[in-house]
Amino acid sequence: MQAKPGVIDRLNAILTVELTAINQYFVQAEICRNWGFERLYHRFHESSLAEMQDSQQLIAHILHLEGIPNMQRLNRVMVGESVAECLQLDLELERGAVETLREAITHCRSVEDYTTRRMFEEMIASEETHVDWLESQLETIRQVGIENYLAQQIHKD
Amino acid sequence: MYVCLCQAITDARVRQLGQAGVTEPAALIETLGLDDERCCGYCRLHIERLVAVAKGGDPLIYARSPLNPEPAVDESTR
Repeated sequence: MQAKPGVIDRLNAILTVELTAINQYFVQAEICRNWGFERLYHRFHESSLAEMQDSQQLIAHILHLEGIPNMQRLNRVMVGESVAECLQLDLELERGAVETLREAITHCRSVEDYTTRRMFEEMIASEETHVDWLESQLETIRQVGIENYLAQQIHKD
Repeated sequence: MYVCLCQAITDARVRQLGQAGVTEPAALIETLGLDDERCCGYCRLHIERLVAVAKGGDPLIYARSPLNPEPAVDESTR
């Protein structure tokens, strides 16, 4: 099936964001495990896998629309030197993802590609949940202090 | 944060260099070893952003770039 103008570009732009996120969460998961924060390791690891599932969906859809998935491009993979910094950088990444998705949804509406739009809408909902989670973590840290927060991350759930 | 993963360079290190007077693009490339074949080329291509970090700018400016550039191609080896 032929894609509407600009749709493959949007799909590839979001694929870039997702592929970057896979790497960012994957390395942060291992960094947390290395620091002994088992609970955060699991959380980041799951995030990485979730982004991989999104990527799979995007790749399949790009191929379905007779495009070529661009696996080559990555944004900057942002790695912090502390847990708090990692969370802050993840928030940055997720906010960027939401922004990219929002533009893509508007575009899909204007070219009347409703299936791609629905897919983007599902993705934006899950990214917004992720933004919420990250904001909560940063707020928790602000209220209870980083030591208390980290003490809760040593054991897994 | 790490502003460059290829050479494991943190924003703190870049700022420190800046405070020591290393803010010229060529000097930063030389000191941080950004002329290495292991580098992805981003730092060299966007050296003005690294200069901004050296001068105390927000390291997120560096990270926030929309996309990685195409790899830098050395014309002389084409």
